[in-house]
Amino acid sequence: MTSLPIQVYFALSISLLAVGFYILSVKRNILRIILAIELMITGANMAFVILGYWIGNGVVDPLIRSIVIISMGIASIVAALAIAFVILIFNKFGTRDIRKLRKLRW
Amino acid sequence: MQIPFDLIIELGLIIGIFTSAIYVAEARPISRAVGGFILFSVLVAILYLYLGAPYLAGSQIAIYTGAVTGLLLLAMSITKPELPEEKADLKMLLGLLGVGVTAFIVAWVVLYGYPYSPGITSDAITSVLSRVSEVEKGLEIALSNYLWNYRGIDILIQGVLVIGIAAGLSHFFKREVKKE
Repeated sequence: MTSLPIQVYFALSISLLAVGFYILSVKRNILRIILAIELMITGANMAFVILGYWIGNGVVDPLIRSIVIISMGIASIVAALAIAFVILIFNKFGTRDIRKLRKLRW
Repeated sequence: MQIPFDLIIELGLIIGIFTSAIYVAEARPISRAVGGFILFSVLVAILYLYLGAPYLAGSQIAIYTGAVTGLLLLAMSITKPELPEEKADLKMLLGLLGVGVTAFIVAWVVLYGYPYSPGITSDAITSVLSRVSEVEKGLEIALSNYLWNYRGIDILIQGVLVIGIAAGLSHFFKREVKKE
């Protein structure tokens, strides 16, 4: 078992979500926003793994492992799609600044 | 009093993960942020390995440190020249550090430390899990009944969603015809 209580790891995952939310709301570079999404997904995965570790009494529960691996795959797909959009946006508008994409408004 | 070695490793991993996340947020230029993300992923993989989940650690390394970072570097190289970002503001960095540390402390206190908070204790998690397993079967039956009884509305909603996605994609990819 871990030396620290699992609540500390939950707190770490919540603070990762907070950092990702900060980047999403403040930063303008699209690549950094993609990084923020990946940070948030990793935080959520970490909460899952810690819960599985607690349920499995020292070994991460196999169901939780499979869920987390599927979540990682989906996260990579999301990142690939987002990066494709970044390249499209750069070709169309010539910028990576999310606030300059005002043509996308209705 | 001797500090146990496990505690040092865990504390180091937690502090490293949190610090590298903040570095991803504030590093300039963006290539350094990608470097911080690699460090972050490796530390999370070591944490998974420490918790006894080697396959998760391998997947974390392969997917995040390999695939996602490679794609990010590809996007960076394609979308050059790099645009000048706003300069690093010390006040903002300190504010972010303060917000992060405060969030960590508040979350830890709410989850564990404060004696009068409901908190997530072992008993609470056990009772919630037992209730979830009881409720799950009833919920499944109710959901399938609901979907079957209102299948017309379900198909309509799916159609609206598909049309909306198609409209959005066609709007995004439409070509602008220059007027002569």
